[in-house]
This record gives sequence, C-alpha cells and structure tokens, in this order.
Amino acid sequence: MPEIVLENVVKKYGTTKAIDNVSVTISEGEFCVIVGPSGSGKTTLLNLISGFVMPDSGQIMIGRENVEKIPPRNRDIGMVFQDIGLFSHMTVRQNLEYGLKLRKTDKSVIQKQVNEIADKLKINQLLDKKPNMISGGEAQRVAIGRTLILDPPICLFDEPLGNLDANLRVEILEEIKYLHKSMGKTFVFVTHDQEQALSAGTKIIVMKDGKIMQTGHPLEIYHNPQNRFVAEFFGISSMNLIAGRVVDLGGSVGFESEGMKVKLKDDLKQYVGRRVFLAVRPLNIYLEDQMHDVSGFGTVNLIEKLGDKNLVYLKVGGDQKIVASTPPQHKYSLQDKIRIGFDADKLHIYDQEQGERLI
Amino acid sequence: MRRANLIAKNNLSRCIATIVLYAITAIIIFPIFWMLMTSFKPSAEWVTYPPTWIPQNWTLNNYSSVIFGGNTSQGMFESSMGPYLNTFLISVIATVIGVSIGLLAAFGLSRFRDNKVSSMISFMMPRMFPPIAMIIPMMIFFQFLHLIDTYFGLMIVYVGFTLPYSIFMIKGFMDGLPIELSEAAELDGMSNFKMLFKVWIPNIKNGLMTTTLFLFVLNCQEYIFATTLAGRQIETVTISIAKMFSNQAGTFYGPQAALGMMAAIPTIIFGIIIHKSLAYGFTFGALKR
Amino acid sequence: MKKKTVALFTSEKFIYKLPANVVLMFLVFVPTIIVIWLSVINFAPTQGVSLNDASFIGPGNYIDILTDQAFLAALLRTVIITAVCVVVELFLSLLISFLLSGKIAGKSILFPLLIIPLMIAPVVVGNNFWLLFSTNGPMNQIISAFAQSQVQINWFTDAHYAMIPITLAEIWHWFPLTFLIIYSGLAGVSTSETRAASILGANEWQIFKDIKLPKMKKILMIAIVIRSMEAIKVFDTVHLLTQGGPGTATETISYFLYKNGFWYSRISFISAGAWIVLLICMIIFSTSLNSVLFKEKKI
Repeated sequence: MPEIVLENVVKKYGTTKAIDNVSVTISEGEFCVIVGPSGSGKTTLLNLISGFVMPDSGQIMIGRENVEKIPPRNRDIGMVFQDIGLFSHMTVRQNLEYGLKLRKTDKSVIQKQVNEIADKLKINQLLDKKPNMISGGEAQRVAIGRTLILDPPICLFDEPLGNLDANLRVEILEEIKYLHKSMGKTFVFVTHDQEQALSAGTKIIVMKDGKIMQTGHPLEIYHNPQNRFVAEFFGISSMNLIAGRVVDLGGSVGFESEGMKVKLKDDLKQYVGRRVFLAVRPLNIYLEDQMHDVSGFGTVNLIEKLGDKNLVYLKVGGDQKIVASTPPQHKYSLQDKIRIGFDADKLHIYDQEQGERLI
Repeated sequence: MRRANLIAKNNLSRCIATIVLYAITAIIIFPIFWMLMTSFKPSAEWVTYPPTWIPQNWTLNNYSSVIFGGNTSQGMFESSMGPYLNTFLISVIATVIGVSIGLLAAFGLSRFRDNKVSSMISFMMPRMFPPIAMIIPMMIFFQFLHLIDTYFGLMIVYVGFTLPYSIFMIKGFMDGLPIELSEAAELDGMSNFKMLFKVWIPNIKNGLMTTTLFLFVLNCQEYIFATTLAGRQIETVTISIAKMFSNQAGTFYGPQAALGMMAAIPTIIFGIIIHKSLAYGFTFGALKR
Repeated sequence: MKKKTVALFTSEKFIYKLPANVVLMFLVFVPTIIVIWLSVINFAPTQGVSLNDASFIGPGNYIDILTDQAFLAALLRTVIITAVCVVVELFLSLLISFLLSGKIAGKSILFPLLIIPLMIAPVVVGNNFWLLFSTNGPMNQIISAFAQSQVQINWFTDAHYAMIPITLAEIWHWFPLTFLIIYSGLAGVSTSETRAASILGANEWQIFKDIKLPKMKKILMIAIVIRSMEAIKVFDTVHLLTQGGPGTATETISYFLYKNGFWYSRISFISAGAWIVLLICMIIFSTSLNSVLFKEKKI
C-alpha cells in the first residue's frame, strides 16, 4: 500500500508561489486533511498528488515511485470533486460502470460490482436515473461510489462537501469517515472548514500562502497551535488575543496588560519586556470563579445567548475586548464589573513581532 | 517498467498529434503563403512551369503598381489607394453603426431573457437570404430612393447584413454576464437604460471589441452589394480586385497578389487580435461560461 | 386587443429592438415585398415588357421556374456544395479540436493561424485559388509529383473539375467559423467531468468520444445551421473564377439567379426563384433551430 511523499515541491503561477517548498509525508491508511483559507494552496497540493498539476521542482512519490511524469489516469488514484462532476449525459449506473468499462471488465463482473457499491452507499434506487434528477447529496455519493468501485489504494477529496446543504455535509462526512475505516484506504481530504478538519482526520496539514503552517494530529493542533495563524484559524467563535507585555511579577514572570496581570507557568525571564499577545480560547476564561486566581476585571458589554453556552463580551483595561464562554445558567447584566480568571495551562503567549509562540 | 512503457506511448501519440497538426496548419496557410510569394514575383516568373515557390528575383513592382498606379510591361493600373480608403471609411462607419444597433437589440433580447426562436428568426433573416435574391428588389428600391452609388446607401446595406452577427454575438456575451450583476443594479434602483451603459457594457468590453473587429472584417470583405448597388462612383477594394481580375483575364498575377495581400493584411491582424474571444463569440451564448 | 397592442409597442423590450427592426424593415421586409410583387407580374425589360406595362400573371413565373431544369440543377448543385462543405468542415474541426486538446507545443501560434482564412475577403480567396489552380500552378505540380507523371488539369475550363476549386475555396474560407464553434463547444465541457473521466482511466480519445462528443448536439446544430446559411450563398468565387461555367458546371443557385437577372433580365422569373429560395431557407433554418432550442427549455 503506497504512501505519498512530497519533497521540496514548488509550484508557481506567474510570479506567485502557489506551493512554496513543501514537504509532506502521508502514510498509508491515514485520513489526512489539508486545511487552510482560500488561496492557501491546498487544492494545488491535492492536484499535485493527483497529477493534474505538474511541479516546477521537487519530487512527488507515491509508493516510493516518482510520479511527476505520470498522467493522472495512470496513477491508480481516485478523486472526488467539489462540483461532483457526474457525467450528465449518462445514468447513475453508467457513471458507476464507466471506470470498469474502460478496463474492459466482464459484463457480469461489472454488474456485481455496481450492485455492491450501490448497496454500500445506499444508492440502489438511483441507478437508472440521470444526474439532473437526483439531489446534491445523492450525486456526491454516486461520485464517491464511482471512484471507490475501482478500488484505488488512495482516494483524494477536493472540498467534496462545499456544494452541499449544511445538514447534508455532516451526513456525507460521516459516510466518508465510515468508508475510510471500513476500507482501510488512504484518504486525502481538502477543506477550508476547521471543524471538518478537526472531526475527521488522523492527520491535519494546515496551509497558508503555499506553505505548511503545522502538521499533526487534530488534538495537537487544537491544543498546541505553533503559530498565531494556526491558533486563530482553529478558534471557536473567536480566539482571544490580548496585547501586552511580559513582566516581572516579583517572584514569577507574568503577562501584563493595562491593569490585568496573569501569572504564567513557564520561565520566561529572558523575555521580560517583550511585547506579546496572550492567546486564550473563550472557554478557558473564567468569570467570577473561586477556583481561579483573579487576574483582573472587565465590564460586560454584550451577552450572546447560544443555547448551550453564553458568550460574554467584556471590556478590559483600556480598549481591549475579550470573549468568555460561560454555561448558560450564569447570569450577568450589562455594565457589571466582573472578575476574570485564566486557566494557566490553557493559555499561549506569542511574540508580537515574530508571531513565534513562547508558551 | 509498465509505467515507463505508458510514458513512452503517451509521448509517441503526442508527437504524432503535433506533426499532424502542424501539417494541417501548413496546408491551411499554404494559399496565403503562395499569394505572398507571388506578390513579390517579377512578371517573368508569373507563369513559369514548374512554378517557383519562392521568387528568384524579389521585386516590389507589383506593390508600387497597385499603390501608385503605373505601367507594367503589359498594361496600366489605376492606383488602388482610393478604393482602399473607401473600403476603410465605409467599413468603419458601418461597423460602428452596426455594433450600436446590435447592442441595443441584443440588450432587448438578453435583459428580458427572450430566447424564443420567433423573436430571433427575424433578426437572422438578413443572413439567411442569399444576397442575390435581394439585389433586384433592392436595386429598384434604392433607385427609387436615389441611394444607388452613395456612401449612405452602401453603409445601410452593410449595417443590415452584418446585423445578425452583431446581435447574436453581443447577445452571447451578454448572456454570459452573472445574474447577480443585474440584481445588484436593480436594487440600486437603476433603470434598464442606465444599467446597460453603466453595468453591462463595461463588463462585456472584450466581447464588444471582438464583435466590432469581426464586423469590420466582414464589411471589408463584402463584394456583391458593393458591385451592384455602387461600383461606379464608389469603388471598394473588393471591386478593384474583381475588376483587375476580369479586365486582364486573370493573368496579372503579381499585382493581383499584391493587392490581395494589401486587402488581407489588416483583416488578418484583426483576426489574430480577437481569435480567442471569437471562439466564445461564435457559440452565440450556447455555452454557460 | 387594442390595449395589448399598445402595450406591446411601448414595452421597453420593443424600444431596444426598434433600431434593428427599422433596419430590417428597410433591408429585408421591403425588398421581400417587392420580390413577391415582382414575381407575380411579368416584368421582363429586354423582352419589351417594362415595369409600367407589366401585368399580373399570378403563379405563372412560379410554374416556369419550378419546371426549369437549370433552376433545379442549380438548386441541387448548391445543396451538394453545402453538404460537402459542412461535412468536410465538421470532420476537420473535430479532428483539429481533438488534436489540440492534448499538450501540443506552440498551440498559441497555431490557433490564430487556423483562423486566418476567414479573414480573407472571398474575392481575394477566389483570386488566390485562381493562382493555385491555374494550369501552370502549384496544384498541378503537386498532383504531378504524387501521380509520378505530368498532370496538367485545366481546372476552370474542364466541366469535370470546375466544382473542385470552387468547393475547396469555400471550405478554406469558412472552415475557421465551423472550427471555432466546435472548438469552444468542446472546450466548454465541464472540467470536473473531463477530469473525473481522466482519473477513472480515460485517455484523451476516450474523453473525447465518451464525454465531450455526446454533449455537442446543440453546438453541432448551431455549426451546421450557420455554416449552411453561409454556404447556400456561394457567389463571389463563382463570379470571379468561372461565371457559372464551363457551361453550367458551377452554376449555383445564386449564380443562376444572377445570370437570369443581370444577363437575361428575366426579372420576374428570378423573383419567383428568389422567393422560393427564401421560403426554403426560412423553413429549414427555423425548424432546425426550434428543435435545438426547445431541447434547452426542458431543463
């Protein structure tokens, strides 16, 4: 079973580097999610693997074979596209059969395979319909079936949920996850949606401007973002970034910002005086809480009730604003002065100039 | 190893395709090449057999006879600059009018999403009917209106007979505009008229340029109306070429070729400029972009 | 009813189409009416019947022309030329479009070169092909080389061959139009579908045959209609090169009408012919377009 390796791959369009010296290894059987904002190069990366895009320099290997000169149809790869791409002039059955027909498979074998895949993806009732008569979700399932029927060891997904209704997205993603588990193939999945990335992959590659920002297991990325971009990108609702300075709190090193003082765990003596950001997720801020040290005070500006939680927007210090996530039963009123505490384990410090993570 | 074979097969078929393609293109360009070469041939080489593919003695005499008029060993030529300018003048004006009228009609069809065949058939008629079928009635009609052999008369005819291309090419480009554009303009309270000039036209500039140049090319090529409805006072390049051809029983290859090249060069240049957009223009909106 | 008519004529749509309609009125409708009028009288200036003397003879001209062998022959010839042009050009266009879909070096140079013939005025094309097919010209030279013996065909004076340069000139001139229509049609097929086919294992030819071609019905029809519209009008080259000859070997319908109108002044006679041709064109083209455009409505 092949693994995918990219080494020092560069791809330019004009003078812009769509892929800037990227090296990546995707092991066999992984569910790798490539995630990033538009223009980050994630689709280009996928197309380098599929062969629709040729690299300007660098190596691309599938199963330890250099594939740069091999066209897509010879790479033994499956691909599912964002706008689905079912052959609109053929029925669903003919779509499913196409790949096998190209390989001159026996008619009876084709029949059997088509029925099997239809069972697997629950599309039996659609077999004789044309693509314009089925829904988006059904069409995408057919597209997945069309690809998997050929049993490729690697399957690529280019934002397959992008054109689907919100409720369908979860459903289809679950099906893709299930297929991955049951078939043991290598899946490479491109998306711009952080939640999809976190819930599906065994490995996440975060991209921005053609570069890889971080690679790792979802939890690792979520809990230990290595730079500001990754931290912000995976924020839920918002990531709090408070501007301030590293200070000596007499006894320990801390973060200070206009009246707020937060004790920091690590030894940052060397950074005292540096201007930094304190990054903390809303759910790691505690309001009026006995369990946590009080770092400062904030005034309630706005409360957003989200059902399962409340988002409390507070003004702290000069003009800075932070968002805290609280259980719905906690009640505050506007203009209340609230005590704020931070979970020292769950905050990060980033250098203001370099963006480098210090804690 | 199987992979290496596949790559080799791929390269071979690409090679063959390239060769075939270049061969076909060469065949297609051949007539132009021949005319170009002939235009530089001295009269001695005009009728030799086997014919010389590349002139042995290059000369510019053919061009000078055609541009300035003159005397070659077998006859006198009138300068063709007059007709050249005539063609240019008439074509430019007819094109501008043709595109403007076509623009309005195309907007009338596209904005109101009128795709019925019945609406479109009438606009196609000028191109559907063989000009010869219209010549006699038009001669009578024009005689009656004193439009024979006038710039105005000829221009109207040119406008009319390029109108179908004008309307349907522009309509095609207009149909390709995203609907959000018009919706946004509507929300801004724009009237259709304003929308045409402020939103639609700026967005199809490329298409308009293509249509304009193509119409110009068509107008330059026109022969039959020019020769029947004008031709005495007003002579276009096409008439000159035909005259030169029939006057000398088609044997003054050199100057004929020279005039032909001169007539062809501007239109060739325009064609090259618009070739990419022309491809889309000729689908007349059948493709959703 | 009156309200509806008024509404129709003042609707915005109508106003935008107005200038075009005025031009049409002038250039199409009025001449058409004149043609019809001419066809039902017996105007023949060289036979002593001037416009003032002409009287109404109803279907007389129509009967004359429909039984005229030369007219029918000219019609047939025109249909054959049209069919040959359309078929050859479609084939060439599909072939070249297919070849261009792969990775070819210098595509951007080839493409404009292929368009050039359309940009050359038909009289110049005629001139050109006169040069090529002259008795001492390159065509004869090339054929001699292939046939390994001296071949000197008099293309324009031999009734067996005269049609060939005329037809080739037509194909040469109009081929880019057909090609551009076909090429864009093929290029316009959704990339996801072609890529999907590719990843499933299809090579260029299979993509062409299984995915692209089946979607070309509408475009092919447009190409055929437009090309046929231009083809039936063949005139400039015939007029320049053969004047319908030798004999009537290259007499297309346009030339037949021209000859009878301008040489023999049988005005009413050809007006009937003209009207018949107009009717045939209108019927054929509107029905073909109807079938294509109606298909679109289903979606």
